[in-house]
Amino acid sequence: MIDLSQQLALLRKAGIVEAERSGSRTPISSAPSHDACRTMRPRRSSDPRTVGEQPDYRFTLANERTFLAWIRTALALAAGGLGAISIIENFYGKELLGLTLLGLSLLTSSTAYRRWAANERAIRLREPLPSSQLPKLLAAGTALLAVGVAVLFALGAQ
Amino acid sequence: MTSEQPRWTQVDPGVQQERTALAWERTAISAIVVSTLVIRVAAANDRWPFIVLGATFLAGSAAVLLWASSHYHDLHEPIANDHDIVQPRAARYVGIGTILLTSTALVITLLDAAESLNS
Repeated sequence: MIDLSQQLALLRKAGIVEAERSGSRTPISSAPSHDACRTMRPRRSSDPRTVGEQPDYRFTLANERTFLAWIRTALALAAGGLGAISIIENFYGKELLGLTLLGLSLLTSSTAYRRWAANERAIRLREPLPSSQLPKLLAAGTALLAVGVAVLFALGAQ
Repeated sequence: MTSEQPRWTQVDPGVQQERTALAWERTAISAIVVSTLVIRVAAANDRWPFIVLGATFLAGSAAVLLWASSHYHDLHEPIANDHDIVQPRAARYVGIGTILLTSTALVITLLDAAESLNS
């Protein structure tokens, strides 16, 4: 059996009610609907402005730059994939190389907005930022791909 | 006696807006490069729908570039007045646009790979 303060903490975490007010900034959250409170279903609006309070603008801009860095990573992988297909000649695995890079690119781009929204939500609720395995996965995947391509190039040169 | 100079010109010594504007511009330039590559790869095999798609992405990327250069000048005042500056719509559009662009590149590559396997 959870008490009232624990229920409120759960609702705040789910974004159903506004976070505690601290400082002079204006909370953005609207009042919770009756249905949302009754079912305690977490609301996951794609607009992070619906939860918490307005953070320091520097955090918002830093989060935006991080999002854009992820987008550029996706675009760089896409450019690499398309470049592998159109520029490299007489290389047996160039389609596979291009497809792998483009697959990584699609994976990166498809998580970028969700990551931005989750970070923004955590910043507004003053919670720890969510962690992710994607940077590790991306680094390992790209490194393995580079080693594989280098070996194929070396074999092809012989 | 108050100064004639607007308050927002002295808001942020960390030039946050400028760094963020440059990040938007770098992203738009990267998207322009990838869109051009999509057009090039599509044109190599006369895939006209993808050429049109690539041109659309190119125009969208150019629009983001223009928007980024003008929009951040307008952010000084909201920051000075402690208004919320978060831009979910811009992030959503760029996120979805990038997914579409990378998907298009992936589809073209798959078509080319299937064609080379058949030939």
